[in-house]
Amino acid sequence: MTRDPRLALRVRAARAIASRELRELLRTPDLYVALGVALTAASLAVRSVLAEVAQEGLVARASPLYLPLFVATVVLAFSAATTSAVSIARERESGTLEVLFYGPVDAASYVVGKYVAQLLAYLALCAPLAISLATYGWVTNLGFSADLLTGIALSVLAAACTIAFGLLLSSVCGSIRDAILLLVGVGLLLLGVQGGSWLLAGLPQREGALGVAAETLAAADRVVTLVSPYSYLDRGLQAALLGDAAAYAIAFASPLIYAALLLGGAIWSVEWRGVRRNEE
Amino acid sequence: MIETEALTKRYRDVTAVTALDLHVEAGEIYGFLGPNGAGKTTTILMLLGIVAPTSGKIRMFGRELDSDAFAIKRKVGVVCEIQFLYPHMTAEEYLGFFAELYDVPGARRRIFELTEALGLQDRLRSAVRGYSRGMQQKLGLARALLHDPPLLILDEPVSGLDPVGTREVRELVLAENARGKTVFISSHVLSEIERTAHRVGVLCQGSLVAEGSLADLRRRLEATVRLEVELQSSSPTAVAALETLPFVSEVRAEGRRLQVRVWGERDHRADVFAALAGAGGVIVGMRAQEMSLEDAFLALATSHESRVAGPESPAASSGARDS
Amino acid sequence: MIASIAYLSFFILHSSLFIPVLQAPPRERHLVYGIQAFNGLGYSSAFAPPAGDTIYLLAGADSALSPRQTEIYWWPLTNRFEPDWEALNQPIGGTLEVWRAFERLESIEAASYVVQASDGPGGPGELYVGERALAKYAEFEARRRAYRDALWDYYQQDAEYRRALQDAVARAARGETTELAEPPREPSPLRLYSTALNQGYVLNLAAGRYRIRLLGPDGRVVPESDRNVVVFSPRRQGLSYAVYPQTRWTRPTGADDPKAIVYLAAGGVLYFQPFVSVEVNDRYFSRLEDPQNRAVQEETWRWVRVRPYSDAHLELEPTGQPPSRFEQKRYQVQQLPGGGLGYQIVEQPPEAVGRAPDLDAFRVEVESGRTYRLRLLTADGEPLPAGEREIRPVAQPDSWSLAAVPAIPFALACGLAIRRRWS
Repeated sequence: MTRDPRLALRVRAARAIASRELRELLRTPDLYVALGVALTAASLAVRSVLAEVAQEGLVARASPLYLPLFVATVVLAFSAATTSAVSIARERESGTLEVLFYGPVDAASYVVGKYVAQLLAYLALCAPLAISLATYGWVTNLGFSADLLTGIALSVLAAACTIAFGLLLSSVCGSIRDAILLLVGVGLLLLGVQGGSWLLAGLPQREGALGVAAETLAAADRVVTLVSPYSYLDRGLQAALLGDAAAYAIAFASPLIYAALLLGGAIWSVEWRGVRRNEE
Repeated sequence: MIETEALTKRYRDVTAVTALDLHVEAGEIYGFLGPNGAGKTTTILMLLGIVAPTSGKIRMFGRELDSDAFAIKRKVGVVCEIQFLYPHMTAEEYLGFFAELYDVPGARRRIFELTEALGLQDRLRSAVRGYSRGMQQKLGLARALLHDPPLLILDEPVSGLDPVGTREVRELVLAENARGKTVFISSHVLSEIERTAHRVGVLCQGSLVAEGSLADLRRRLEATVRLEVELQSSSPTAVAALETLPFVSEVRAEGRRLQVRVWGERDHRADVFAALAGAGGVIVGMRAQEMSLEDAFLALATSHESRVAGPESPAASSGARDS
Repeated sequence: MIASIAYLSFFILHSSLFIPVLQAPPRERHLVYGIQAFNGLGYSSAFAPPAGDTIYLLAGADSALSPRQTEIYWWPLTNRFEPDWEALNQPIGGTLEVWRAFERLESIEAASYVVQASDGPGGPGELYVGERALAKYAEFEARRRAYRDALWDYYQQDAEYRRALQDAVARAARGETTELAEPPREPSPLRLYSTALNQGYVLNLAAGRYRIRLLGPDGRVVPESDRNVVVFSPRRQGLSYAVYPQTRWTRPTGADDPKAIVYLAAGGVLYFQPFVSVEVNDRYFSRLEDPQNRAVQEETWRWVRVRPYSDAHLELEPTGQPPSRFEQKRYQVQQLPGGGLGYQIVEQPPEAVGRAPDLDAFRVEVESGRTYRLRLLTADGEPLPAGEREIRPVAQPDSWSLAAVPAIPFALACGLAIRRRWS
């Protein structure tokens, strides 16, 4: 079987970019700060469980470390989304993106390389995350179940979505500032839609502006739930906790499809937006 | 090596490059001249596939750029005016990354050779953010040469370099050309092009206003050649005799010195000598003044601008023969 | 003075804000569905106003819908529509059509129905339809009459007994002795609960999405009768435990999930009451119980206890030690006399058999710092897979030991930042 030489060149380019990006990610403090913040949040969640047991005398939970895990993975996924959101914008702003494209690099190999690096960086954090949770479980006697390992594994899929989402945002931005503003804006919009929908859902669906607003926000919320990478994070972890085969399958398949669509969007966006700096 | 056919780039209302037909032969150093904003960088970006042309075709290595941009770009080394390096990387890491990207065999040895040749060996393991402009330029050059490409595209490669750095880069370019590389060099430092390029193309307001060897270019521009003649003593009769000659367009006398402008199709020095001698003039010295590339470039630019400006322009008639 | 004006303004403003609440809300005549929805254990009564256009039902069980014309109003304090049955309560006759996609599945004629619960409302219940409903309701009426008569007789006998008692006391004061009859016994309370006999349509559908509409006697669709019906099944069945710590028996903890672990701060006495339970979609189930419930928006799951699991044994195995078996017993809570306002949980004495116990559970005592495995066994001694749980003591580590874990990556980040700065 002969390999497509163009594909081989693309793979080589993507591999070189991923390798450089990963080395850079692992050498910058940002990744470890994110891990530190995630573990701090997780330790606070563990402390809240312990406080509940101390106060109530008795608590029954399927997996009391689920909340610390969820909190930690949300922090890490958000961090991965932020890092991804600035990564293309930073290269475009500094001009290095253009230099890369002088050589055998195209939008697909570049975006895929970036994506793989971010995903590998997330994977690299999964081991210390698992060890930390196991330590918490051991120190507190809350235990560490196999569900948590499955949850961590599934969180990679959710992170795959958040990273692709971040890259998509980054691909349209010309500067780090724009990328951060866009990420915060989109985040606030998603939260606004979900919060607004939740608030208006309690009201009667009557005629008039309020009814229209409630219906619109409810529809938007359904769309947000469908497109928000964080909803996949929650679904994936729920599936791990419930041990439901169908939910597992959905939790595996949907983020992959979703991430592929977002990456496709990011590739198209890099081609459409170009690789040149803003002032040029 | 590089061929463009009616290459055009329009940005909304502005046409950056208009119907550009370039022909860069293998093994030559092609100087791409033009004032700032002439469209040189846009042309280079189109050659590199960074900017999509509005219309026209690009062929490199005999193949359409669109047909296999990946493979074509692997054969090209590019140095731009600003290097846009990764500031936290060392030179070794930076070149190592591009060696991986271009799949350079024996990358470590190649990096060593190039950095030694460019004088970067001592700072190989320092972060490039601490590099001077000249060192960054050299690192960019090393990156461009890393995969030993048959074609080098250099966009203002000596911009910002000190005279020593400029000379080093020039020597490197000439050496690479001597090794068989084709060099497409864009610059507005005309003296640099004059010293390196075999052929030049002059771009003005997006159009190629002249293309050819330096000698050709000069010939085309030297429609009139200025002869400086020194007589033993001033001689009005000699001036009158010269003015009667059909190939003389202008005679200006300043004492015993004459400025004679003759049509430049062939060498008229012997005819001028004979005419002056016939009129009783004793010639002490005679010198033909050739136009520098700087003068040629300015003449071409002025000629094109005046053509674009229209016949009403006061400069319109002066350069009508330049094109 | 200014303060008084400000206060007055504030009062007027506040009063004006509350005026709409205090005013009688406008009533509108609408078609609503009265619902008796099977909830796994018994029946949940609810009504679905036109705004709640979806009715949620459990699959494979009879549930009844009763379309009615009534007046409804929006009550802002509860944020929901309320019916005014007193003003108008008019059943709507006709034929109920059930559609799935574009196919009409069935047409249901109206029938009499009644829901009865042998242990009072909220307990396990049955839905009776047609002739059976008439018979059951008649039986309920007869039992209610009999209870009322027995109660009347008891009051008469009790009054007579009290008079005799007073008479005996007076005679005793005079030094006479009297034979006193036994006091009358109060009849056992009527625990049977029944709804009124209603006309409605009984649905028993497989899981899926449907649409219903009511055709009037003229064959035309009754306005506002068109609704969506979501019929859902439990995802899985299991065994749940309600765990009552001796120290707070009023607030039991549910160990519903089969993977749930019971974490303890300290040892003590625990009461485990097992239940058969099902896991259902939380949003669907919340709206089954109340179609106007909008609190649960997400697709989460919850365990619903269907019925107590009886005739079983409990086995408790401390780590590294042989297991002990426990029997399920009936307990009642007794208030302790004195100022301490305490209570104690004691076994129900045999003479109180007719009385409902406060707890019907397994009593186990666990030691501090020890892990146990708990199993529910059938009457034959076979362990039930879904009935296994772990009881585990929780350690309360120092703050620093939890903080030490995130400190490692922070230290690494600092090291890298310094190295990067000086490289």
